Amino acid sequence: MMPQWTPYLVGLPLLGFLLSGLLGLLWPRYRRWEIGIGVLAVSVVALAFLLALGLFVGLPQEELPLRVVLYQWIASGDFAAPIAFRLDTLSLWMTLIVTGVGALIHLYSIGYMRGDAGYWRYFAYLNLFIAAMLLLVLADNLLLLFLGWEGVGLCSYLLIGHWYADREKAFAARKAFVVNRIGDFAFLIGLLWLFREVGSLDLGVVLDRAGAIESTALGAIGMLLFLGATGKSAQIPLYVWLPDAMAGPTPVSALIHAATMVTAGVYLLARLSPLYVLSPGVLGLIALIGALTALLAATMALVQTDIKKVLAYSTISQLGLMFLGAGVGAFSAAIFHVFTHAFSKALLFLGAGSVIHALEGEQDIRRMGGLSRHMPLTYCTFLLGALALAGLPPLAGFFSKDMMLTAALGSGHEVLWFLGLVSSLLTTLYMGRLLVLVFHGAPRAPAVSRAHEAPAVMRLPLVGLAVGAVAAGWIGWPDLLGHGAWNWIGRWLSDSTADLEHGLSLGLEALSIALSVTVAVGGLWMAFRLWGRAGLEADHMLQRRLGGLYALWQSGYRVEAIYERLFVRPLLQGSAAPLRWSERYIAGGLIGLASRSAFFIGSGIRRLQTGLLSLYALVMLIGALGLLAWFLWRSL
Amino acid sequence: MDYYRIAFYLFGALTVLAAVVVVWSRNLIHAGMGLLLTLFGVAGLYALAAADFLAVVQILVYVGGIVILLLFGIMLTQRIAGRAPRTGVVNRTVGALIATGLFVLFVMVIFSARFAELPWIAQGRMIDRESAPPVGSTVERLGQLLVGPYLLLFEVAALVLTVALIGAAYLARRSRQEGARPRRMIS
Amino acid sequence: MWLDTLALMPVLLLVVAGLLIIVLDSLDNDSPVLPWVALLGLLGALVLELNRLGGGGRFLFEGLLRVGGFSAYVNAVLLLGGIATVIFCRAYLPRIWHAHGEVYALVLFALVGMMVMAASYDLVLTFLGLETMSVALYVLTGLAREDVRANEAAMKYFLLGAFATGFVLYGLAFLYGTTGTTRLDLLPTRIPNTPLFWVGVGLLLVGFLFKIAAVPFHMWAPDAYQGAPTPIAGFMATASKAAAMSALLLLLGHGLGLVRPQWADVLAVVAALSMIVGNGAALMQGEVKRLLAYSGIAHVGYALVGIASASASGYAGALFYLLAYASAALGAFGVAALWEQRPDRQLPAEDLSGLGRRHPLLGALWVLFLLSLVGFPPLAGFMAKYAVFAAAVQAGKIWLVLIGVITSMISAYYYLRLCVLIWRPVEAHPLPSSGQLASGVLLLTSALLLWLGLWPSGVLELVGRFFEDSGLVLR
Repeated sequence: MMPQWTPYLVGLPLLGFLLSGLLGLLWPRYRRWEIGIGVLAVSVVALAFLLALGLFVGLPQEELPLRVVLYQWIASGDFAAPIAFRLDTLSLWMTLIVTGVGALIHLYSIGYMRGDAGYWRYFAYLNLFIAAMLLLVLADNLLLLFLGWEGVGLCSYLLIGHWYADREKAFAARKAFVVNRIGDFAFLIGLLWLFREVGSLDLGVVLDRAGAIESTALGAIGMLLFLGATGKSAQIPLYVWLPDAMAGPTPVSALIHAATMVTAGVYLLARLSPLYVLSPGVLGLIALIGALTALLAATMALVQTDIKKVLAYSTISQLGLMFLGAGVGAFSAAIFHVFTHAFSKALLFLGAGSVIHALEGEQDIRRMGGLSRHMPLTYCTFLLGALALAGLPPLAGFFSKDMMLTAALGSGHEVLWFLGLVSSLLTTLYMGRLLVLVFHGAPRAPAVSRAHEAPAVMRLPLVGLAVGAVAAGWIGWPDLLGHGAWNWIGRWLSDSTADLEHGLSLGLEALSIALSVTVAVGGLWMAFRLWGRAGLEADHMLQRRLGGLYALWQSGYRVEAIYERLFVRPLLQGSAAPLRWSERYIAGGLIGLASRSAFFIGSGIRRLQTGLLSLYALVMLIGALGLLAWFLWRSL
Repeated sequence: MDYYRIAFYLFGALTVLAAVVVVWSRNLIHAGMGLLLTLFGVAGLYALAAADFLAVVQILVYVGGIVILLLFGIMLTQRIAGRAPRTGVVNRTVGALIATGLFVLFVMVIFSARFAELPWIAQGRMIDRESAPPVGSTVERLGQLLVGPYLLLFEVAALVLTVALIGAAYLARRSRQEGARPRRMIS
Repeated sequence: MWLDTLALMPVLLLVVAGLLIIVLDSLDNDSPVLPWVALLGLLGALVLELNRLGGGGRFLFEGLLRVGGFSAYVNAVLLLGGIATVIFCRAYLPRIWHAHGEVYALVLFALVGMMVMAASYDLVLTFLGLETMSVALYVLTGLAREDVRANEAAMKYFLLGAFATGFVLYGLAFLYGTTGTTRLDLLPTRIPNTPLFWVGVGLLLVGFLFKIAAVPFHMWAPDAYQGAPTPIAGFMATASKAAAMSALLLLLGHGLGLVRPQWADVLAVVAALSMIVGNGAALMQGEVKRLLAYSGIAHVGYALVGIASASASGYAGALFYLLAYASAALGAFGVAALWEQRPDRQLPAEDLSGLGRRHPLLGALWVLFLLSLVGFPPLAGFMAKYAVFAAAVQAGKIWLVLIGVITSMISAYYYLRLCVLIWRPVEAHPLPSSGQLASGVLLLTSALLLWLGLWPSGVLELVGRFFEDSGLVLR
């Protein structure tokens, strides 16, 4: 396969977007032709996946990285930004994840969105989402990467707000957008600074010259870019948008959580890992933030009652683990976790979508239960996904999680390692709780008895993803086995990432693995015991036992309220005050002054608002005075 | 003190005092008369600066034409409004502060300029001593300059006047369409 | 002399077309032929200007003005604005019973003034151009004579504009008094060491900054745009700003290029204020034209960032910004003009509901224009912001870029609100006025936005060349 085909990876989904968008916009009858729209959208992404697969198989690892230049985008003076793509082990791997999982989610959407008024719009945006994410992943230039970065943000806004007629959902979309913009802002500043230091934004140049950057500047750039990553990847302090982003259609949540959007932050860290390993302080902070996010989000996931919210907090927690991995220098392990997590989380979301679909929109797990009898396939796949996410060996999640945790232990971050372990335990608990409350026990709502399996077009992706959730981890066995000989993924990715090597004694590694396995098995056993027996009562019992702590978890550590009080309200009031002032002053002055200054032109014409006019002239004069004073001061 | 200076300060004082009347008078007619005197004073200053043509034009156009028109306008509209047109002063304090500030600034700057030492004036003087400037009417030279190097400027100025004429005609003419047809839009 | 006059053909074409319109109008009142005459003149001028876009500039009339290159580029932007304005006027004015022939003549004459400004190397000529433009715009603002709001808008614009003219004249007098010249090419060698000179420069700046509606000389703009017929508001927001901006660029870049440190900071402050006040005030507007007026004030701030960088790349960025902003704003005002239907000529944001459902293509174009104004990649607005910000970073004005980036993020909020609004499931009225030609202009400007965003190198190189080999004082 020729590397010249690379632009089509981005081009195909973009073409899908343009076709669906234009046809839907200009030809109303096309909007109702659901089969055509769906097939078009799925086939472009599937084709992109096949193309990526071809590149993956056809290009020997030795030939990477490759640079494929499409054309010169900006060339002004000494600055040039070509539209160029970078093919290396990292970008190729991410492309496979995005297109593979993305194609399955597209397929699922055909069934899920049936009958929706915005069917064509939905698929057009979905294709654009994939295109933007692929651009982000494949870009060889950080400016181009930023284009994809912004595009992903815009698409998430459009898709979360798909049902924009609902005020709350439109608000959730806007919240996601605004919070992301904060991160993007830091990201952009970081980029500008980087450009100032290096003189180029080409990845090759940036990574080559990273060592030449002065260390404080490097640290600051690293921090700014990291802040951008926390926005996209929903980490502390910018995670608040992700739970609300559940307002979108469920497949969109799956896409955001598994394949696109949130993985962008982890990808960015891995992509710039040669830069990050040079500033250990920033890396330490990343690890700390990751570990804290993992722990806090896991506790919040434990107390949610909305099936999608549990999964949302779970994603934040898993992303925290990935950041922990990246922070201790195990970038390839973090990407490996992106890979395994993509399968299990997409599976869980699509499974949840099936459940919601079957229960006619019900999302509250307190009104579910006993669904396993009515939806056996969904149950089986959901079970596999949950167990994989909980890190039960030999399912996929175990391998990647273990790789990150051993790296944390090996790098000497024992405390962070412990935090990671605790959040793993919590993961098993909330996954077990979710599984039991949704599928086991007695039905707690009449709708459950009417539930039925989804159509085949929705079942097929579940099976496909379940296979991945089971087997995806087998490409990265722990170093314990064959001294890394069986760790294929590590060898593949470390071509592109600058992993820190930690000499961890085999004994310690074995201990870590043993603890992980114990935690996984023990946690699941505990969860099944607790919720399997008592059902919802277990929640109440926990609430009684934990008291204030439980309430704190339920309120999400009051972060939303704190943000509201610290930022949102002062900002609103801050902007309201000048408005009120201008209203009072201008409108008040208008009436008072206009009545005092009689100034008629002709008959029957209302009084000219001379008060306002003189105010305008006054402001102008003050400005002029300031300008002149400045010039005078400068020339003296 | 020579006569030149006396004349200069006389015209200067006339200009400034009349301008004060324009600004402070509450009676528009008085203000108009003040404007007349101000423009006349400026014409005197022009004459003293050896710009005789400019001075004549100033009196012809501004004093004789524009201000008279203005006064007619005021007197005619007085009838319509039904009472003596008066103006008020608003933003007294802030306005006074800013005006004082600007005034002080300009005075400071102009006095510190030392025009005689500016390069172009100093050089000009040296040239002048060698070849004395032509004394007499400036009309001829002005005319030559206007159809010579400044022809383009002259033409553009003509365009400004054309535009002003068209605009005035449009604004002042009787309604043609909006009167004839109902003032309603198709929607 | 004859050859020099020939080189002024684009301007002469407009003058002739304008006079022809006046004559034709007197023969056949408000004949429907008139816009076509105007368009013919504009297209001819545009072709001539585009023809000499690539070559370097050429001085005419012993250095009085310079055509080609820089001025050809700015004139092309201006003519684009003129063409769009005439076409939108043709669709819009009959609906408010004001399809007067004079309108087209006045638009052409205003353009003549603007084009003179963009070419002038003599401040007196610049001033005359400014006045030609202003007088025509005063009248156009008050086109709806029977409407109080229009009267008020025109009166405010006129009085404050006259005020600003006073500043310009005063500054010009100081400048001449201290240097003995009004020529920009002679200025660099004659800058005297006296505060009076700088006060003169400051006074001149006040006048120019007033015309581009930069803070704190912006207060007239929202009222004027709201009172003016919508296509004329678009004309004022784009063409008159571009013309005054290019005159400012010529004065600062060429005339005062040697003493950049003296004025760069003050422009940076004005730019920062414009971005903050413009975007902040736009957040609270409920009327679309008023909102666009404030957004225009903010965009002037962004373009000024380029000039405040005081470097060739900054000037080039500012020029690029002018084109990018003009394309997007013309489109936005055009859609507003086509959609507006109230008898009082207002367009509250709520009135936009349902536009996208009723006319999907128009809605999509509207979104495109606004996204470009936000500066969303890969549209022209992004490229333009990038160009000026990069120049400012190179000039060491990081704080200015910070403000620019923050405010443009804030601006996304109100633009996106307008984008979302039009897709509301509301039954909307059909398009009150339309026209194949108007849709054509909208498509053209949107294509321009995409082209400038995706393949900006051509134009960026072009505008960069103006400042590299044009004798600009940059040492």
